[in-house]
Amino acid sequence: MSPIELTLMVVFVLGTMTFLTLPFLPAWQEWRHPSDEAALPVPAHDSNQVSHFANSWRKQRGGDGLNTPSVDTSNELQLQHMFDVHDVQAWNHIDAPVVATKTVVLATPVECLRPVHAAVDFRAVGGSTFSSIMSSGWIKLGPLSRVTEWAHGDKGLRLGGFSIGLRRLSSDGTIELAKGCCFERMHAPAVQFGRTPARSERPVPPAGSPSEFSELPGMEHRGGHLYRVNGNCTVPENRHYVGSLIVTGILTIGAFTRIEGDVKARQGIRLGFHAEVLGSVICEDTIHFLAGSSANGPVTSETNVLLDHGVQVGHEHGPTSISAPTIIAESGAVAHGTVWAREAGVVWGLA
Amino acid sequence: MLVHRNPVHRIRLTLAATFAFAALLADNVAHATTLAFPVLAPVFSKLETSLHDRPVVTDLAFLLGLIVLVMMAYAARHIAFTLNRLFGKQRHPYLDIDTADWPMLTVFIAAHNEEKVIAGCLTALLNSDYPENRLKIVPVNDRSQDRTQSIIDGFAQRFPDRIHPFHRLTGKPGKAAALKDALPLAEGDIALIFDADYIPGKGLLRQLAAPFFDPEVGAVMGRVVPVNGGSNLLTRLLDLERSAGYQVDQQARMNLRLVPQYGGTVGGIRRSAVDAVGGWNDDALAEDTDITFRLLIHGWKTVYSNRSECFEEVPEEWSVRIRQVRRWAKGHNQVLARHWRGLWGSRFLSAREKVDGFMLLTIFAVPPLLLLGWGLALTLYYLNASSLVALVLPVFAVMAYGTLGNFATFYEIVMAVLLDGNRRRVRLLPINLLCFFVSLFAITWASVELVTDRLLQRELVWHKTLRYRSASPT
Repeated sequence: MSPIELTLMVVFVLGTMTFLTLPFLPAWQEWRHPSDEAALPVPAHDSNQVSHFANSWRKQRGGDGLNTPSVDTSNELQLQHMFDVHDVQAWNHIDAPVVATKTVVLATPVECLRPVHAAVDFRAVGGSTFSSIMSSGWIKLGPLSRVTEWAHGDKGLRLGGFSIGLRRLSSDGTIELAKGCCFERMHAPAVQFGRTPARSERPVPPAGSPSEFSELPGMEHRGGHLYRVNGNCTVPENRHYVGSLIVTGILTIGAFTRIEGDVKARQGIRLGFHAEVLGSVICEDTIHFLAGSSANGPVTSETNVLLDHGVQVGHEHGPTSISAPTIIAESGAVAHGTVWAREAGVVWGLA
Repeated sequence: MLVHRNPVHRIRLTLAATFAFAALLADNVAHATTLAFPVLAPVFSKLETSLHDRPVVTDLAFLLGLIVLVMMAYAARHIAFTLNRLFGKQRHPYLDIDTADWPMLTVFIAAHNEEKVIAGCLTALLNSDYPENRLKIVPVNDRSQDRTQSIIDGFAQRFPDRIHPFHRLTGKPGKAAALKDALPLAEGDIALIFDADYIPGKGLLRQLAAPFFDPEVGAVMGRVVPVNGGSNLLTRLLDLERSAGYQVDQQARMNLRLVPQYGGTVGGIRRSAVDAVGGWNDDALAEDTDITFRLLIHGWKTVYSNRSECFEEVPEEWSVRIRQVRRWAKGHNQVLARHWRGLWGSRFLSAREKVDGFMLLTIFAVPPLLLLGWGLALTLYYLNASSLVALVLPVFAVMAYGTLGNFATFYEIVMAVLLDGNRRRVRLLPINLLCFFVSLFAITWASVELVTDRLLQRELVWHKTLRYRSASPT
């Protein structure tokens, strides 16, 4: 081996050893002098509740939210003392949380990027923007309003047409969204999309004739009350079934049919007019509730949920959840419980 | 059949298949053929001569080539999973269900000499936000000889409506057997199972119960997070491994609709589904894997919920870790022997579910295979280092595996750690080679033991993992 070859060999070996050793230097350093060894944070009290912010606010401030024994309120503006509620410029330049001890009525649009707490009601004309609002009474915002973080009205929350409620809206009473409103996550005993028909307007469906899933073509009994179909499945109209159903294709439930159980389909579910599912409705694709149909259990889609006029999900004494990346609710639909549109939720309807 | 027995034809067949596959990929058959054969003609000629002279070497080279192909398949899987976690659509379909008419739940806590940890687990479950009237907590005290029974009884006295202890004084040892005996105490169709060292968060039970609203779901698995990750080097390395296993591997399988695995704790089962597939098996060392595959084969889905996190303890001593890995390896390979045929024959599964399921099933058979590959490579080197037979196939395969395979698992760990937001701990990655080697030999040892146990008809013994937390007050 010539001297040049030998040199090259030594350089090669040294270079290789260096590259091999280099990653071990920070590894050694991290081992001997740990800089990141804490366990991953797993919040013990993370309850995933939509009204989390409102509850935290209330808990922090105690009772009605106005008594503040445990927090420093020196940076808060007591509204009636500090500025005129009609002074738009004052609202726009607030740099501390606002606490109002009386009902607030705003007649001109304002933009407030600080949390607002109203002891009674909070009403604002259309076109206003708020980061977060907490009210012990009603929150009523006019058309084209925006809530960018969260709003909670103990008695109710009403957004005018084409308003936007980003992140969380909650109430212990009713949430009313007019046509054109966009939403993400809402929770209330009743969430009304657009104009909801009065109870007397809802037709009472005729009792369907008792039937068995096993009578349907391609049906396979999976034990207990569970049935499965490979491919698409059409459930006839005006029947009454007891049992749960898994469909690998598209599931179509006929008008006025009632299913006492859960349904799951992979490629789409369509509930016919006034069809009723007493359990959950789960789908990897679109779920379409035609007018008057209803479900009592959770409704979960991995793409879209479409709610037509008169659809009801959950009931007053049995709130449930609707969740999907996109939820489009026609004026006249109503949900009880949580509505969570991960990407976008819209209320639509004819003018 | 003669074609397949002749090593020359076998090599040719392999090479031809490789190029045919490349051609298909390139969608240009003619081009690939013209490219391949002139180049390979002299190689074939030399190979033929060499093969006739040294058939044993050829067979060994062929075997090594196959092993490397298997390794590359696993490497490709790791890379695909990692890329999916980085760029794919993430599935958490049931996480958004936070209001519902919640089903009756029975939570079983497997406990064998758990005086150090059982109180923490029970307290955490009592603080859960799951509706009290729908929750039954059953601590399963399996022949404990420490204060576990008295601690449990203390809780039961204070919360008689909520905690219903099951003290097991005799019977077959092991978690699977204890749970099998306790399952009849369950109320409702859903049973969640925790080990005694787990500390469930307030909302965890709801998150784990939510997927069961889907009638197709037979089992649910949450994410396990080491609570003692910072104790020593071993726990820090295991913390990295756990991150990769859950944050990337399990979630990617969920995203891709493959086969997420039920892990036996921080999870639950639908009792009617388990009954429908033959009930709880108490003769399985890895009853969780056994349940996963029986459910899968019969058309039930297992759901992984990455955001349903729960703390656990990881081993702080290498001896404990090795024993744990050996138990997993034996149990997993036992399930492999039982269910691989059923998996391929299942009419409920898609092709990709079968492939992923099989790769998951054989995951603990890979380390012995890898060791065999290393042994073969060395053997070939010493038998004939200069032979084309010994070089062509293995060298290219080993190069490909070296480039892709060796990095795949580490790539997975890196991305998991980054997704978790803990960037500095990733510096320990090179030292993770230590864990890799320890697991490699421990699993191989366990696989050999499994075979000898079977041959000698020895019963498989379940070993409990040691706890490290200091005893908590009752």
